[in-house]
Amino acid sequence: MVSFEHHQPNSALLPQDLELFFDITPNLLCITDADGRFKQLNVQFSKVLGYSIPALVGQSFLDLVHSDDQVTTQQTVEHLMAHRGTPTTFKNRYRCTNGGYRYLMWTAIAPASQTTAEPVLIYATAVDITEQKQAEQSLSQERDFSKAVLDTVNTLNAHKQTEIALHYSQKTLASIFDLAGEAIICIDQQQNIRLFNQAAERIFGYKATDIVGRSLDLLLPEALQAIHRQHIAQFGMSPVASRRMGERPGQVSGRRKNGEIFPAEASISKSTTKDGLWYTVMLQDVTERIRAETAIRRSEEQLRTTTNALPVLIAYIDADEHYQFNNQAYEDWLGVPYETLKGQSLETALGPDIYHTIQPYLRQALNGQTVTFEVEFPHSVLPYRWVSVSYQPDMHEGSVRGCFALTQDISDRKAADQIKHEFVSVVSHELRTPLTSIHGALKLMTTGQLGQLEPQGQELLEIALSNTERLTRLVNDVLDLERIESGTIKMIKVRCQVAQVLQQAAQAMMSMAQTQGVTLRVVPVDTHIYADPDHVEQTLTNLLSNAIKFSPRGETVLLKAIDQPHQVLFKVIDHGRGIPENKLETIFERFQQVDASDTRKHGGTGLGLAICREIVQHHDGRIWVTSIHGQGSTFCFTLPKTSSHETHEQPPKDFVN
Amino acid sequence: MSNRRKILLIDDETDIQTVVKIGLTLNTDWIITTANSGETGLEVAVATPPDAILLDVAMPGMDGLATLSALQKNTVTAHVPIIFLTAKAQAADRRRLYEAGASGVITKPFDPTTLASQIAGFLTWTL
Repeated sequence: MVSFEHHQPNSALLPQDLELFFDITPNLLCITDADGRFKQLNVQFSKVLGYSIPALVGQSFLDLVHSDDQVTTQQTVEHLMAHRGTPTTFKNRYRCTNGGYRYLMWTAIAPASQTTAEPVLIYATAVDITEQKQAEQSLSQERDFSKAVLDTVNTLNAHKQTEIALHYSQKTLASIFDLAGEAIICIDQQQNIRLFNQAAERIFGYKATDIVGRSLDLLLPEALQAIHRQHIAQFGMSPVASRRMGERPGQVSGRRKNGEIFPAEASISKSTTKDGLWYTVMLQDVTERIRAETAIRRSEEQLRTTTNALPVLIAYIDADEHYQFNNQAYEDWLGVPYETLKGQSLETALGPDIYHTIQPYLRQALNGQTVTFEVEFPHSVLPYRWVSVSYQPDMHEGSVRGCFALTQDISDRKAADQIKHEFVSVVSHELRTPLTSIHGALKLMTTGQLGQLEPQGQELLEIALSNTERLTRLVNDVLDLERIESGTIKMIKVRCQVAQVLQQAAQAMMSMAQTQGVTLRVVPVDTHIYADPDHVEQTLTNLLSNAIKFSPRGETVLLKAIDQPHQVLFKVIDHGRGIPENKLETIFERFQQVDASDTRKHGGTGLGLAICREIVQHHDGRIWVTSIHGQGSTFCFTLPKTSSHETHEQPPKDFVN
Repeated sequence: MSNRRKILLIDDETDIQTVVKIGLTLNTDWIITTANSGETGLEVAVATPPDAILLDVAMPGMDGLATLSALQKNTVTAHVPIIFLTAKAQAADRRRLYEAGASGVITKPFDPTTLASQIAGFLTWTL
């Protein structure tokens, strides 16, 4: 520490040398007069407190002292003046320009004057101890709890003979200890148990009254007793005040009264009491936690094993379109270890082609909709060409956190479908050629232009002809149905007037109605639909043909359309024999007729309603029938008024099941 | 020189040829010539250009569309109207044939008793 020998300056040091020291010292240095007004200050005042030096000269230092410290500082200055020549050390807080305070530790002296005429000066030097002071404060807070405990322990020991004090202390102790959820066990230097709280009783199974005064060894597995004793002794000698026991949570073992060994998490601290060194062990039983963790791990492993064993692609996609889970099947598809996909964006993992194909569906799922679709990746180099995908949104408190994705390779099925469609198409086509010859030949013979047959021969010829015609219709219907189902026939949807479609269908069926003696009545409506007019007409003529066929002579078949907000409802109403209730569901299936003899009697193919259903479903419409057996049937179907793409953005429907 | 109309029928199915031939001769005085393939039909048509050609679509070798194209390219046959016989009944199939230059399309199985009037209708002939 630099000190200024004002009256006897070292003859070797010149004033400028002193100035230099004055400026380079890390301490705050100042000289004041007897009233405490600054006469000289070094630059540290400016650096530590922020003031400009010239502004301080002439000011009283007391103005800078914290109000709480002013009295003691004033007293110290008085002491200095009374004990001239004796240095004094004291602490106080100085205000900074930023409004904060710094803790300063001062050493000051008022040198004994040689002559009374000479003015009294005070020389002072200070160290900034703010950081040190703060560290001390937090340390003292940390110690508060253990100090409180030990104070109580000391009180307890000191006043053993005083029953009231004992009672009071025990209560205090109990409230502190028993509030704790952890076991708190105090042991003395001999490692005998001195305190044992309620949590400890619960965990170990001993009553405090049974165990206090006995060895800590009782709480430890036998094999570990010796080593544990050693560890505690070593800790007692180490400079560390507290530490965790064991290297990992659950590595410490405890022994219950019933002999059961359990995993625990514990820390130990030490303090000196009047009885010598005491240790406080705080311990938690982690049996349940470790069991739960093991169970979670096992169930995760099971889930992993299960999902990996399945031949479908299973994934979880987060809201940012990144994979968070993939099963092993992804390796077969993408050719990379499935674990590497976690955290990858779908665009990166799947490549731009596949990603852009599925992205519209994924966006729907991440908007909270369940999506199922089949999609083809014709240009993909990956093994799956056709896949069926299901996205199930993962909703949490009203928002979508991600989605579960189930993807299945359906390339084989699609290839088989393709072969089936081609086969049906080829067969139907090949059947038509001989049918053309048979039908043509029979037709020519029935004209009688090639000679008249006997009546029985003519009858047989008619039978041959009508059955050839039925076979032709069957072939046509099979081909039609296959083509609609396979998507070979595309529905060319346009905006069309409902009245016009109804009129055309009625026109086409007029001659059949006349032949059957049935009246056909049309109730049109001035509205439009978004549909393929040819196929709507096909649907209507199929339904009308059935209605006419099954209507008694003289009855009326009604064809009407009803305008609804987003769709048009079509109705074909007859007063025929109706459909029994148990047939209402299956009537739209292939080759399902009310009566097995219908095909023969009425010349149907059994495919008409199946075709109607396919057509309506390809328009996102619905078809159904209501009927009272014996009183007639009403066939209904709906068709949309606008394209689904117009109303809300949706992926192409062709793939959506 | 007879002013009877000459029809060339090109179809690989001889049974169908027979039915067509009988159906037409029973109802008209047209002269019917037949060919079993597109290639033969082309030769016959070039050698003796008919008034109309009935052309099957699905045939081995040169199919109906290829035969049509070859007939159109030949100046001798370019003006001869062609009516297709097809087992494909779809509107789209028919549209494709008309776009290729057909004067008419008749779907199999057809009715041989009304075939002549169908053809005459397409060609605006009077029977």
